[in-house]
Amino acid sequence: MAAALLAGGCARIPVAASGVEARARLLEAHAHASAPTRGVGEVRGRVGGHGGSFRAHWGSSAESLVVVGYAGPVRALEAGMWGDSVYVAVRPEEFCVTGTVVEGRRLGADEIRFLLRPWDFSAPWLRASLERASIEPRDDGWRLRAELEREEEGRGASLTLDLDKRGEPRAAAVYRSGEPEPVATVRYGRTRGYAAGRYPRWVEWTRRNARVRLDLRDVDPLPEGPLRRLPPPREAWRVLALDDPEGRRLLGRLLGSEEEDSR
Amino acid sequence: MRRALAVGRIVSVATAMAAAVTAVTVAAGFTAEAEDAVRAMVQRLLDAPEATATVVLERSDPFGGPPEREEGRVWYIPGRGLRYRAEGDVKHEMALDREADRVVLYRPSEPHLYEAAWARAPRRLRQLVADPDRVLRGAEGAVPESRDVRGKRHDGWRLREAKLGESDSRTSVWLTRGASGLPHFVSVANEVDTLLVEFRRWTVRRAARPKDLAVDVPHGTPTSPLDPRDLLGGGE
Repeated sequence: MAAALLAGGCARIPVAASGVEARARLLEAHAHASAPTRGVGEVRGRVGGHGGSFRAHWGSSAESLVVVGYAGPVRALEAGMWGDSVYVAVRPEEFCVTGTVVEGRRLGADEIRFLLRPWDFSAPWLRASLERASIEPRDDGWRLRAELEREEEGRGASLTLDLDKRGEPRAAAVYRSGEPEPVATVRYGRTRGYAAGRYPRWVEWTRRNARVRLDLRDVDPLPEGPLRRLPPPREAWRVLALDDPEGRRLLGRLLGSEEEDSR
Repeated sequence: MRRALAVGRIVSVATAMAAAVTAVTVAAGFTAEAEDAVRAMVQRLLDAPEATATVVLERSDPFGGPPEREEGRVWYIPGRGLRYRAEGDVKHEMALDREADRVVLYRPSEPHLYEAAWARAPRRLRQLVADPDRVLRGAEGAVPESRDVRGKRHDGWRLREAKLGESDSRTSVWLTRGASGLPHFVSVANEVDTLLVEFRRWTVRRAARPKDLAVDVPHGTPTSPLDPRDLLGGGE
C-alpha cells in the first residue's frame, strides 16, 4: 500500500507506526535500483563571504553523474564522477581539476557520490547499512544511525539520517570515524512526485563555511543511450591534478574546506 | 564560486557576435557575390559607432530535455566596449569598457557589483571589442546551408571549423542574415549543447553613446573585485 501511495506522487502518505516502518518506506521509495535520470535545478551557494548561483543540468546513471552548470545562458561548469574518477572544469576561468578519489582518511568515492546525490539510497552498501542502522525516536520522526564501514576496505564513516513521521528524509550527516563534527550535512525539502519518481523539492548541503542549495525543477527519465561525456579541456586550459596540493586547495575552496583539504 | 560563474555570463553573446563576424567572413570566401554581401553585413556592424539589438538565446539541454530561452539586449561599441543585459525571469547584466579599463557584472537577485580591470575580461570579449579583425582572420572554410528554425526555413552559412579567435575546432557555427542586413540567427554548437542566438531589432546609432555601457545599480550597492585567479589562491 505504501508503495502504491508513493508511486502515486501526489497522494498523501500516512504516518508510519514505527521507526522500522518509516525506514521500510524510505527504502521502498528511495533505495530501489533506479533507471537513469536527468534533472534540472537552480543551485544557490555561499562559500565564505561569496555567493552565487547557477542552473544545473545533470544526468545520473548507476555510478556515473555528470553535471553541466549554466550561469545565465553560458555553460560555466562541467563536472562528472564516474566510479572513483572526478573531473571539474570551470570554463570561464579555463581551468579544471581531474583525478581519482584516493581511499584514505577522507571520504571514499561511494560516500562522495551519495553526498552528491543524497536522494539516492539505492547503492547496495548504503542500503545494507541502513537496514542495519539503529533507530531512535525524535519529536518529528526517527533518526537512523548507520555505520558505513566496509570491512574489505578497512575504513569507516557513519551516517545519521533523520526521517519524518512518513519515512521521508529530512536531514543527513556523514561523519568520519572518530570525528565529532560531520564532514557534511544535508537537509531535504519535502518530497514530491517528478516524472522519474519521488524526489525532494530541494536539498541543502552544509560543509564548514559553505552552504549550497539545489531546488529541483525537473527530474525525468534519461533518454536512452549512454550518459553524455564531457569534452576534454582545451589546450590552453590549466589542468590541475586532484592529488596536487593546488588542485586540492582549489576544490577545498569551492567546497568550503580549504584549511583541511590543503594539507 | 560567484566570481567564477559570473564571468561566464558574458561570453555567450560575445561568442555569438564573434561567430557572426567570423562566419560571415568565411562565407564571403565561397563566392564573390556572397563575399560582398557578407562583408557588407559584417563591415556595417564593425564600422558602426554603436550597434544595439534585442536578443533571444535558446540553449539545448545537454541531457535531452527541452531547450531553455532567455531574452536580453546587447550594446556594442567597436573598439570601446560591450554590454549585455538579460531580461525576463532571470536578470543579470555585464558591461565591458576598454577606455574605462573595467568589466562589471551585476545580478539584481544578488545585489553586488563585481568589477575588474579590462585585462581581466575573457579573451574573446576583449578581442571582439578591441581587435575584431583578429576574429576575421581566424575564419576558415564555410558552406551555404539552410536550416529550420522554429518551423521556418532559413538560408545561411555553416562554418566547417570555427576558430572564434582561439583554437576550438570542436565548435560549429551557422548563421543567417536578417532583413536589416545584419546577423539574424547565430547557432553555436559543440559536443555538449547548442546555443541559438536570435538578434532582433538591430539599431545602428549615428554616434556612440558610452553611457550605454554603464550598468545601473541601486545606490549603495557594494562593489567587490572580480579576479578569477583568486580561486587559485593568487596563483597565476
